[in-house]
Amino acid sequence: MNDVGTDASAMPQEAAPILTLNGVGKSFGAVTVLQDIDLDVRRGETLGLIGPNGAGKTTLFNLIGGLHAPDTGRIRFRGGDLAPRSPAARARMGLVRTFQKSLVFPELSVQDNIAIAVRASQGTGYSLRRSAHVLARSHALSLIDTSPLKGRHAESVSGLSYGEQRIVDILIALAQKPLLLLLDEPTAGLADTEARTLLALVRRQHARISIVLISHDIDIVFQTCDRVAVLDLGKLLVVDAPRNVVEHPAARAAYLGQLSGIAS
Amino acid sequence: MTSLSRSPGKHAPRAAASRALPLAALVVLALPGLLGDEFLLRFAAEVLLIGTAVMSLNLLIGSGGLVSLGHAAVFGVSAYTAAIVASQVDGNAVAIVLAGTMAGVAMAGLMALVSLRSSGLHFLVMTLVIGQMAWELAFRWRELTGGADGLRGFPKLALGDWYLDDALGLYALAALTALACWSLLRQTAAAPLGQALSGMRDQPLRMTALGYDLKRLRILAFILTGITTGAAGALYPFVNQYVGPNVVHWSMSAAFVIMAVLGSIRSLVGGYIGAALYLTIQTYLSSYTDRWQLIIGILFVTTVVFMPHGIVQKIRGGKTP
Repeated sequence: MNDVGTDASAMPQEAAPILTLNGVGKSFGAVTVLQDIDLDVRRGETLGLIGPNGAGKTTLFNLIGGLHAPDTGRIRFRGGDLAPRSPAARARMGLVRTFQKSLVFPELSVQDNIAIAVRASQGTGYSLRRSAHVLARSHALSLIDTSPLKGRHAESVSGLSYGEQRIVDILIALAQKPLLLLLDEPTAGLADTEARTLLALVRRQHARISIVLISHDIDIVFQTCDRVAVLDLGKLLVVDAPRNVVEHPAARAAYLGQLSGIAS
Repeated sequence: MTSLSRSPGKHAPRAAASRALPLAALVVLALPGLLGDEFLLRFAAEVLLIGTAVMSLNLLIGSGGLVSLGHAAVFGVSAYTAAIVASQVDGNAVAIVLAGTMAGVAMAGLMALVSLRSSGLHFLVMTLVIGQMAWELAFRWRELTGGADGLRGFPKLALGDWYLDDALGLYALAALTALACWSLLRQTAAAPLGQALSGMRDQPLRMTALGYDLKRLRILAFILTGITTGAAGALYPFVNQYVGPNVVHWSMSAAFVIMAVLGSIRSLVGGYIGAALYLTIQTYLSSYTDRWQLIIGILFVTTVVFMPHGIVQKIRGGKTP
């Protein structure tokens, strides 16, 4: 499926891709969830990953993140094979992901939620010294101040609204200093304006990181992504600039056709 | 600041309560010393040593819900090591505590490595089995451990020319050890490591995605447990100048868990409160009735129903943080 991803008009074709998938497949028992996936994520691009429920989007994230091992194929990050790396090791290399559900630390304040991620990226997460706290917390504070949660760093996360917890969730991921950020439905359950604020936050913070965005919100995907990949029944149908994907017959048939009034 | 999951600087009333607790603990610490009764002092020393072991069990439970049914093995192996080493070093307290602590770390480390991949029920059974293997050793290896009779007649504790064979000296050493262990774990709770450990309990998946090595965290938690339980276990044989296989037995581990729940698993001081309550009933009520375990049972059920987060958490203001 290499031939489908070659329209580079939206992005300058620069250095080697940050993430490369070659022939990646995964089955659970008799069910083939992903089949022969070839996909590049270029440096600095935002790649949308769309498809109907059960298409294999989250499984793909789980393979890239290391929660599952692929049955076939190879995944490379920054040129190196990811197979021997644990999920934690991948995170330390700058491969950061979020989950469909907000995974925040309910007992901690907003600031400490972010600080626990800052320390992970600074390598002071296991420290017995309280002084390691101070640095990480001030770093966390400056990150919070750029977000809609400015001024609310001392609040307990368990008291925040659903949308606010999603923002904390994203801030935790950003605090990890990602090179590649995998966002799994970050805007699910959010109002449209909230969702846009959230994505603007990600882009403003890190203009040069690569992002893969899973979302069912087609408008957001087509407006914010440089390229869009359509997954259906475990197969990659097309990877291309949004305007070309809209016209793609197979993609329309599989997914986009069901949605009325999109990205005209 | 005694909670395992407390973040620095929030909620003034709770902070005041948690400042008051250690203070109250200090007063309680001083009391037996002032009263000066020989039996009471030895009993108080026992409470402090067992309480320290329960406190470090709280650390494990607070780090990913690692409920160990082999905790007595860590405590007991340290106790046996101390009693055996005592004969070699003429009761030198420093050497004994060091040897006991090292034995505790070794035993806890072994338990950590063997149980590294298990959690929940499997972790419980795994620690139970390792604990019973340690008991088997203590029970069968007669030449070293005295078998069912246990060990007696080892030298009393000494610091240079100063023999700690009186109750006050022993109590002072137990109090010092308890304080040192408590401040180590308190320091941990307030440091990044403490937050990472409670993070492992609340969001293990996220911790992995953040790049934290959960196995490393778990081993670190066990090592801290080994240090504190080992130091306390090392002094335990000198309370009655005796150590027997019961101290390694799984029923002792179960008693530790009961004490932990009674006191509050989310608090360090809770370990001491739970131990004091349990041992008081065991020591004092057992002279009136054989059914003291029934009273423990009723107390346990009452605690779980009316104060599910333990006595200390109730005093602090109800629910968990």
